[in-house]
Amino acid sequence: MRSLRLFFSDEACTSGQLVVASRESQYKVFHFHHGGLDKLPDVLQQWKYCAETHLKDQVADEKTCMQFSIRRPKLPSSETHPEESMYRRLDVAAWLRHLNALGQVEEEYKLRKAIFFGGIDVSIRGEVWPFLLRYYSHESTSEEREALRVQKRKEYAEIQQKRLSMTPEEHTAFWRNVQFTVDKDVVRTDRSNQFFRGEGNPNVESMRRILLNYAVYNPAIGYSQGMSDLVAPILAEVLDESDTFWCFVGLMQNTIFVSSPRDEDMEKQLLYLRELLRLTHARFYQHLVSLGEDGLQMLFCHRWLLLCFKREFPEAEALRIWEACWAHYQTDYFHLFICVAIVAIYGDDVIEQQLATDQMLLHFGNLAMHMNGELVLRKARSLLYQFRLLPRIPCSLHDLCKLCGTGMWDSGYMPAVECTGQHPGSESCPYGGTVETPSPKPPREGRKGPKTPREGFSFRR
Amino acid sequence: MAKAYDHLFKLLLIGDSGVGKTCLIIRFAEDNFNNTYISTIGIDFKIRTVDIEGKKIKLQVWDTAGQERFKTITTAYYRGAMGIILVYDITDEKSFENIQNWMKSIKENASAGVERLLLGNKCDMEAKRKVQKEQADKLAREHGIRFFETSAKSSMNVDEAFCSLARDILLKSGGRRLKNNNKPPSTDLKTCDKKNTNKCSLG
Repeated sequence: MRSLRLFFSDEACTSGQLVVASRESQYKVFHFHHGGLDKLPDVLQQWKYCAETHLKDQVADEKTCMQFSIRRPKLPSSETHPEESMYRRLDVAAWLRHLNALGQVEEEYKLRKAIFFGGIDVSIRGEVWPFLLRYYSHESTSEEREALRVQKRKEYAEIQQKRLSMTPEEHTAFWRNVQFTVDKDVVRTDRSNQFFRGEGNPNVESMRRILLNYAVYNPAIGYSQGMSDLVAPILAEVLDESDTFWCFVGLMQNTIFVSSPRDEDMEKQLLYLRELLRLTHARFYQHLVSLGEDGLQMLFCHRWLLLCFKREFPEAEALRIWEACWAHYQTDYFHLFICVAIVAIYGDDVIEQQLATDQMLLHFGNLAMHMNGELVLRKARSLLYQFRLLPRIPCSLHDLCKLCGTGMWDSGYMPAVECTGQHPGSESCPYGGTVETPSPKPPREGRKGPKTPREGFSFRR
Repeated sequence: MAKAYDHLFKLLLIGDSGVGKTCLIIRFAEDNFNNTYISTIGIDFKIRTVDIEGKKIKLQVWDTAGQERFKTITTAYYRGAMGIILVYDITDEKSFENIQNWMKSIKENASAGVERLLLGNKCDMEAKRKVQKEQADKLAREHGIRFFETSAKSSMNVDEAFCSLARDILLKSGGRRLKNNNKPPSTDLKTCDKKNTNKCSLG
């Protein structure tokens, strides 16, 4: 099926014909009489697999025809990561193969890579996530992990004790700053999930204690809205309250976008994202620029970043995205590649229809829960792959792939870094004025002096 | 192409987390209510077009988290707002006390002439009431703004509240135009209107 068209024969737009067109340009015509067509336009407008194409020469209040094209987002094989199909989901058997006789993870990098591409089977998430969230170290033996759990459970009990023995003044402050909001949020977090369903569900109480105790453990962060959304799926998989708490501690430490939700952290994410878009999707970037400051704030992706796409995809797909991000494969910022992938796959209308800031927010808001998570993941992996092939990158993105180490390779990822010349005030850039040759050595201080940024960080589309 | 509306007004809701901002917006824009809502993260808006004084007014109603913490979002949220609805929960004293802080936030972030409205939501939960109507009436009078008790659940006063705010904005902009036409500036349509209206018709 290629398109659906409705031709109206009356003014009220309730009778007429539905014409279905195939990709081979064959047509099937259905006739609707006596107002039989009244509901269909609404149904088609809301149907996620088709998109209304606006006919240019039609006046809005004289509707005679509506046209819908069938959405079939797909990725040509030239745009997928070459290793894409080499990994299957990590199931029990595969997981056990990663462990040696003592229960240590033999090759951490291999495990992370497998998870990055294939994800983890639901049945062993609770077992593997604590490694990804750095509660368990990969070198630990089964025995050591059991000892760690016992010790951490004790620590957790102490944190809780500290919370329960606050002075009345401390408690009042804690209630105002933390508990008041936590109490409101836990009862409206993931309640449709079987695990948290129903009145007086003890798991909701568990989630509540974890968040309150976390605020005691890390008062600098306390509680920010959204944290309940992040902890709930972990609790539902890891099950044990203390283990979940420590996994959550790891999550908050290791995922930059939620760990310290302050203005500068968000700004940093958005800065990277803007730069990544400029590099990989210049047309979209140009559109944002044309909207000015408002457009560049990218309000539509704040929630993506804060909840790591949890509200954008059905849970199964969202958790696959979480795992891919937690794998820290080649970058600590895979979530930004996911953002770019969403824009690349679902953002064409934004450019074609020159959507304004608010319309753009509506466009991406309406896509929530209607996007294909697997497709987005594949696109994001391919974007990362292509990014890593670039011989030179702008200095603004230098940190994007810095922290993840070399993996199993002896030589690291070391593209030449060029100064884009866009630095606030008189801040100097270590890459200012030079084009370095690829080399595993740390960057040398370059010659200073004005230099126009080189054009064309070209990206294979 | 014929424009589907005469005016576009940007309205926004502020108030503590959990007072029912999102529920009010969903009740107003979609005439729907669901007991198990999720906390709002990020920024969002819904649209409804209403008929007021024979004009088609497209209302763009913005929603954000009660605990919004990012300057960029706050700035974008308040920018261009023509009407602000302050919401508290009648079963939650703290949310009412915090209205003062939200008033400050308006002063800091919104433009000076912005229309305001105070709502005490969840008025279907009379048994759990902690904030008396008189307290809120007094506060609203002090700030010279209208006040309604609403229930997003039963839909009581929801349309009325949004429409009265839209009407005030409309009359205010109309008032400005009259002023430009050399009418005496003392013709204050807003105060005339306040005496006799607390309902409005919807198209």
